[in-house]
Amino acid sequence: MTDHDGSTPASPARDAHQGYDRVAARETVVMYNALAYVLAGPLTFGPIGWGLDHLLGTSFLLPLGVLAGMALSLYLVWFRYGSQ
Amino acid sequence: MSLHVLGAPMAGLVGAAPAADGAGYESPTTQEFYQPLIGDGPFAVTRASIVILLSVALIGWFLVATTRRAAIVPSKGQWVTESVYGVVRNGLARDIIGSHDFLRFVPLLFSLFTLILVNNLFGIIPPVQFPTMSRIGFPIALTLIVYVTYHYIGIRKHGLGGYFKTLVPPGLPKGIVPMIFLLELITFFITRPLTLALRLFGNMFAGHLLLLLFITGGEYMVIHGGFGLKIAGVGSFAMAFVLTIFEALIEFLQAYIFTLLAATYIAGALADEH
Repeated sequence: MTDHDGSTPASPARDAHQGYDRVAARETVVMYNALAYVLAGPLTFGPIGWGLDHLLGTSFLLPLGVLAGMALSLYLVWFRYGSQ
Repeated sequence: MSLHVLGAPMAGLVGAAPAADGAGYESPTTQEFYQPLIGDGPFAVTRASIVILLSVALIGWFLVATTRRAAIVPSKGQWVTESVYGVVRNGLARDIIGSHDFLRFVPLLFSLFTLILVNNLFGIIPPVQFPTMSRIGFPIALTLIVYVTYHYIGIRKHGLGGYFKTLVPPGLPKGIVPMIFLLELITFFITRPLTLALRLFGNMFAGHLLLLLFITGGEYMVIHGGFGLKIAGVGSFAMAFVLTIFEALIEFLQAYIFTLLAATYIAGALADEH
């Protein structure tokens, strides 16, 4: 299949449509990436808290880790996608 | 009776034994998805393996048949192939990865998209009617290919240390960089592939189970039920029809999203440091 990209005359309607597609695709990607981040926070710091609880004989570090992980995740999502 | 029908799917999901007397409605269970045709156990040839082989043969035949005598004025088949190729090449690969690097990833993305699309659509096309991706092994295999690809090209481009450095976005306050790095590491290496595989699997699994429930439930009510249940059975078939259309949309969308995210992960691995 040959490449016709350079030779086709630009059509404003088509460009607008493709621009819309691009924005929609980007937003979809941001949504799913945000989901991966929000899962990663509690999944990372929850087990760390659980392990520290086990070592130190306490019981408050697991919920603290889950919450801190969640907060960190939300901060990162905001930093990456919300602050531009 | 209707209570029993409503309660049955939950019992089926947790693997409870169906009604012992054989008279009641047996809801579809997870067993519907494991259908060994030859042999048993981990090396059994299942219905899903036959369906994916069929899809590969079909895609291969279609692509060769529609492009062997490619013409300036395309035939219908050639037009279909070129449209799909155009969407993947321009709409996904070039827009996401960028015009410098995208061309060498088009074969991978095009194969992923067509393979997933055809296998998903097989979920509602008779006589196949089995979505391959509702068996978790298939999405995992596809995800592994994407996973190895984007880490490999990322490490090859930036070097091992450089690749890990690109994970952390620049401009963060110094104090939380180590924690963010850990978070990014888990995201890139665990939750991204996990959600990629589970999203495709879950959508195909749940959709197929829903269709099975409405169709077998409708059949049971129409054949075995009294007058009122027969009418409800017709309603169940109507729901099955509506959900089949809905499934077609989901199946297309999931193939697109899987390819879109694969392209994004590749683009992310190739991205220059800011």
